Amino acid sequence: MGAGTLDAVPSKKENNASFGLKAADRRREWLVKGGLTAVVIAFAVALVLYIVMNGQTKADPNQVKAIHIAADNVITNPGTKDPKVTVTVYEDFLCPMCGMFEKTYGPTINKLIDDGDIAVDYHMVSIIGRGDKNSYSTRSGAIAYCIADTDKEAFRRFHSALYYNQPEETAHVFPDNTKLLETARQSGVAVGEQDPVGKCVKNNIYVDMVNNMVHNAGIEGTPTIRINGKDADLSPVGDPKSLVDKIKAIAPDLPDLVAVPPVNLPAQAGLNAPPPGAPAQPAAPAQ
Amino acid sequence: MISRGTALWVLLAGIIGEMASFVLSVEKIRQLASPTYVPSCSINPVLSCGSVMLSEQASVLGFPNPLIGIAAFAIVIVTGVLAVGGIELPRWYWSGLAAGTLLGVAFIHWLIFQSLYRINALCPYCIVVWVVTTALLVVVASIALRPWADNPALKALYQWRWPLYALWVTAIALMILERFWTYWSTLI
Repeated sequence: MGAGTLDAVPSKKENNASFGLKAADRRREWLVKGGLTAVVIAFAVALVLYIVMNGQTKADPNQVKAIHIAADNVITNPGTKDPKVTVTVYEDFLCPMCGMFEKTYGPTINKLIDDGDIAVDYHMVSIIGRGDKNSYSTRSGAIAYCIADTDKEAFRRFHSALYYNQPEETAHVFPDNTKLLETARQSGVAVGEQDPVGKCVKNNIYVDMVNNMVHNAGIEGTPTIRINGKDADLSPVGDPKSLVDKIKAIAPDLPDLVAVPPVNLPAQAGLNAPPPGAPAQPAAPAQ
Repeated sequence: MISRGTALWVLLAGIIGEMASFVLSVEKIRQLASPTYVPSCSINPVLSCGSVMLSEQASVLGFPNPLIGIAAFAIVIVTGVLAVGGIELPRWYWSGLAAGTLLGVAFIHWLIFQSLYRINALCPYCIVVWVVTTALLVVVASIALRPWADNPALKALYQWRWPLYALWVTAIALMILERFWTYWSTLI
């Protein structure tokens, strides 16, 4: 190895006299070097493996991560895997308008997703948290991302459940992480300390990202709804048909899209039930 | 003066680097010719030279980086051939080659950072170039720095050069492991 380079010149003089000894010295020297290097490398590898396997790496704090929800058979642009219509949503779990939006449009959006008409990119941000990492907005948003990493369907149930049990914006006490994890469990994911969701929440994997996302996404308020990247002006208390109309205007060739009536309209008291699967609601099956 | 082993090292590094640069250039041309072309080295979301090659960082000087590699590694091959043939090259030649390799290694570290933390993908051929160029610097610098062989610090550095290189490779590998752990963990 490397003979004849830097140390070749000075060592040449006494080379012949003690050749056997030199060879043995060399071998020993290489054994020492190799052994030391191997020990350092093994230690570094073990340390990094330990850290990544137990600590989990935090999400990039400046990432604007979407929770992409789409049916397997979602209609795509010909020749690509891109859904024809993607509705992008920026919501805060505490924002009252987001709650109304979910109650008005949620059932329609869920039906359009399940029918494969649209894909939805959810972004759970913290705008009411105002940069407080312990705020309900930030905590619940971060937990939502943790759930979505494990089970997208559970995320959808968790998302509905939190809006149907939304705390008052001005409440003094908000559900803590234990309570939120219980809702997550009822939504269908394991939340034990060794389960991915439990670890993700415990290690605050998404807290910084959710806390910074309003700034990084450049949104002005919540809910912000975009259809194929274009701002969609939808009144949170409007008619779900307005969403269907906007989608039809963008993709007229989609098959018949049907709006689903909102669940919380006073005129339809009989329908005042959570969507199927939304946990933590008094059981009152409407149909 | 240059041992045959060292000379072969230089030649081998030149050949490997040249091949990687050539393949990358060809892939780039194919990609430009057809937007739907999927390069041979786009294997999964992390090992994806398609996204790396399309980045701005892949054409720092306004043209694809591998073109620099094709020109530079050709010089390394010629040097290797001459050294294997036992032709003595002047000191200034090795110094120049070492300076050029050092420049290449500096560039490579910038690319490693960009690839891991900005582009968020790896390109296998690029990794080959990272490993080969750094090894080449170890060998060429050892030759170029011979006049200062008595300097104790340099001597220690020289004696530990391959362990240090092994540590460097390990460090880069661990950075890759850590950076893309969320993906690697799904493969286990």
